Amino acid sequence: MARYLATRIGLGVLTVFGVVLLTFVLMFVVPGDPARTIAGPRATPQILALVRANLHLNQSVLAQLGHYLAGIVHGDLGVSYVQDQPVAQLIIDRLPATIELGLAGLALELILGGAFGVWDGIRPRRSRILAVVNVGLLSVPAFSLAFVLLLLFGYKLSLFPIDGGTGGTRIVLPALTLGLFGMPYYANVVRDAMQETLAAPYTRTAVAKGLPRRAVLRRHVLRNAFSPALTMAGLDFAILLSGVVFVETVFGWPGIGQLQTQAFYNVDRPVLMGTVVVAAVLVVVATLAIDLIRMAIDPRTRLETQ
Amino acid sequence: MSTVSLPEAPTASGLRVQDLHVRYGERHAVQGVSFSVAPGQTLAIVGESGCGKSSTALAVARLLPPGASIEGRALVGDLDLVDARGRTLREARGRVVAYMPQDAMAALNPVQSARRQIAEVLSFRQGASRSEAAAGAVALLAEVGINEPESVARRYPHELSGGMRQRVMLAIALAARPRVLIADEPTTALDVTVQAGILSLVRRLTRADAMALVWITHDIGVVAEIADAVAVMYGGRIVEQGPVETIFEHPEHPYTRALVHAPRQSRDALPKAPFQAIPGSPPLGEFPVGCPFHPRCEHALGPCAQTMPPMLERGPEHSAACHLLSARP
Repeated sequence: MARYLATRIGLGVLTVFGVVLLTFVLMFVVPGDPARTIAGPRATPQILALVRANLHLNQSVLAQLGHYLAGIVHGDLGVSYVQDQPVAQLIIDRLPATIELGLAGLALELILGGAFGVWDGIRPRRSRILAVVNVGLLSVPAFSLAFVLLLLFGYKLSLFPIDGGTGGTRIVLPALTLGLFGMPYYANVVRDAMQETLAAPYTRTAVAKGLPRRAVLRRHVLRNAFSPALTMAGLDFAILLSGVVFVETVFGWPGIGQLQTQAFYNVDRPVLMGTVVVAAVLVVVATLAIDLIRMAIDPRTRLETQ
Repeated sequence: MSTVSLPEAPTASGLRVQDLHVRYGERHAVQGVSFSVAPGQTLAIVGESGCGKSSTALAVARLLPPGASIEGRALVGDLDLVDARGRTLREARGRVVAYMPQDAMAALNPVQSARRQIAEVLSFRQGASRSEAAAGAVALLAEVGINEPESVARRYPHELSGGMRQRVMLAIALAARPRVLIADEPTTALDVTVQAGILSLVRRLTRADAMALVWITHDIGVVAEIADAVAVMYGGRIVEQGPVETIFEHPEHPYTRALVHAPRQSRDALPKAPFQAIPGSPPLGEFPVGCPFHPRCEHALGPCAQTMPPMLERGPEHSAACHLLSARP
């Protein structure tokens, strides 16, 4: 187990390094001069040169990369060009909000999708309601869904505050957007797994034991039927995170996504880089966490670790 | 035998199946099968793939997939298993009739330990407490001949050998002390020595508890080892049945004769092909009109292709369905 964890963490570090490398290269391909952004349009060439020297922008790309990586090791992600604050501090301030929203979205996806999938899966034939809901949700782009929820529940019905920020019921609409967006996928996966599990010989064994139907479902069907959904949650986490970026912007949720969007418009390279690195770390950690949960639930997956 | 207080051994009553039919939509897989098994006795139902023997087994155990329909009677004492519904059926499962499938790997829940899967029968069906059920599971594992029951109880199905998995299935089947055990080729996937061990174990345990045992197999060699009586199935019907010695020494139906005389020396090398000597292949899907065996029968006469021959008494407890037998009484 310790060896497995060490391997997984090593691979995670490699992944994050790869992401840093890729983003760093992208930063230098993207047009725009950060020195010009910081110093303003009327700065003299001398001032621009000074700014560049301060930010190490006059060094080679390789030297800059080395400088950046050395910083990461010490927990230093640089200083924001625009806000004049350490990037690490900016991210730490906003990380809890993003994690809260991400987990709420993931939970809603799993709960809504799981409930719908189970409800449909125990029926002998596929229900029309699930098909209609699935097609409906799948064909609505995420941003329309966000605006429909905002307009209907926030503006028309005034059920939830739409002034941005966190706290109270403000999480409901953004989390619901994420949950509804991912729900159809989970509903389908759980539904198919339910059908497969219900037809499995071990379910027949459970019936042959004379267990009540509820015990057959609870003890033998559900646990096996949720295994594929968990695998999917692991794969889906990166997609969920990119959804969070968008949803935060629409609902004014002060998380990393919002920070990233602002940084993108301001060509605030250190902040942009920092959010990407943190997102990569989050994905690596979440994937590992989900694999550990899967191992706890399904003893067959424990074989891989030996 | 265990710390669980099991109810009194159920009164021995045997199994009587009368005119059993199984249909999957249009397909008439079992066409009026009748047999009976006395308590403590073993009936082997033998036949090739598609002859309806597994459908018969699943019908009596009431485990047919949705969409299949059953007719006829399967009586254990006063209870008709074919008629049982709802609570009556659920109460009958495991206690009146138990089922042992061919593929134990698939029939065991992959994410639960052997102990949990056996113990739940004891806790749900016998009202055993958590610790009683756990101890009872270990006792059952010991009863089915597992050497280190404590350690095997903790293992998951993928950590067990094929023979051990089948013994765990047997422990599950016997946990609620059924009166009838339906074994649907449970040793087919096992190698010969393991198979022999399981055969004698099942035989011993069912006799000790006066259980009626129905053993489904395609392997005539297994029949010789386990059965008191034999029913030979072909094309959804029983074509011959009788005591095991009679069937082996004086088979009357041309199909039974071919089965019994099929070369068995090569069983170890070709365990899945014991019937090579019979020309042609068994009917799948639509069964032919008349005697189902007539297209492959070297003695077939005119009436064979037109009417199904009736079951004819050929001796004590021995009967066969063949036009040749009525032609020369």
